[in-house]
Amino acid sequence: MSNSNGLQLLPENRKSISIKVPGENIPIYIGSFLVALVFLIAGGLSIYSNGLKNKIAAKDGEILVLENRRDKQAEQKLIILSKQLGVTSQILKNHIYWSVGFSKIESAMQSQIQFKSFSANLAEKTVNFQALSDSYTTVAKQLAAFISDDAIKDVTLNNVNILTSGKLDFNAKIDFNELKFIKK
Amino acid sequence: MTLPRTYVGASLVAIAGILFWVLIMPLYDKIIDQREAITLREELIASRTEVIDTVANLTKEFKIKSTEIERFKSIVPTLKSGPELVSSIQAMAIQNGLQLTNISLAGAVSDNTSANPYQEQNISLSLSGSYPAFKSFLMAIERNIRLIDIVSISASPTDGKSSLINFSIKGLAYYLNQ
Repeated sequence: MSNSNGLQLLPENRKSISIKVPGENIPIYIGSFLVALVFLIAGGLSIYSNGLKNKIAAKDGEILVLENRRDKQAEQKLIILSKQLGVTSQILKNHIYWSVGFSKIESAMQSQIQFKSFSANLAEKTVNFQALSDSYTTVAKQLAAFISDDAIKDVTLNNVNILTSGKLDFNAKIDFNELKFIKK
Repeated sequence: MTLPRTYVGASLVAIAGILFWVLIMPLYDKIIDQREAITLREELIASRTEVIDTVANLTKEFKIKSTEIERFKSIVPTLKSGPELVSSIQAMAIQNGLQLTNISLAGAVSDNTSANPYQEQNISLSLSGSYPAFKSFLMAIERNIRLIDIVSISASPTDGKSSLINFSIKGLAYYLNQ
């Protein structure tokens, strides 16, 4: 637009008019503060984490030292001994004493009885024997003597034969109570 | 063109939130794990120290009582120890006046994979002598330091005239299943 009559309606230069509104920068300040706070916390945690990492490394070192301190040979010896203790007590508990059983048979023996042979079996819990006797009465007394022992559960007379000498040859089987007959 | 300050502020808050999830949360999780790892290691160190001290004390005791322990170990040895078994049975037979006519040691009854903590070794013996000698031998076997359980016995006279009796014994000796 031309300048008419020396009156200029529009300004020559454009001038910005700044209007300050109170609190207009607060969102920026809050945002900036939060960003800074996040970086600060992250930095702090990172330092703390590094400290923990070093502590873990130190603990690992201690474990390694302890591992080197182990006397593996001694440990092995002790493990074997401990096993042996367990096994020995287990086997000792079931240890068999046939001498106890034979003493019981001896004490129940009649003087007129003569053993010819015998066999004893742990699995069957029996003692089989072949013997000679002078009479049936002696055989009966012998069976009664065995039965009277509480370690003997049963006595079976299997076969009685009269020999030409007049003696009786007989076979018998003793069923015994394992706990009372051959255990101490 | 400039963004309004409110938008800038909001963007900064959003960035702070993103950074919180991207930086702080992983670090926090890592720290939790690290603290747990330290606790575990401390517990491990404490228990290992205790075990090492116990082993050291037991080893001292072991050395002090080594004679008794060696004797005890021969009850159920770690190995079959066949030669020792043969010589001790032979010695017991001689000491008790029996003649050892035959001895055989068979292999293990159970295998290594069994849950049994020990292995069994079959022993078969043939002896000749008197009944009192045999009973004395039996008692010696029962009292022997190496545990032997007799599972069967049979006795019969050598012949009609002699007073000698033939004894046949089957037994079990034990050794550790390692």
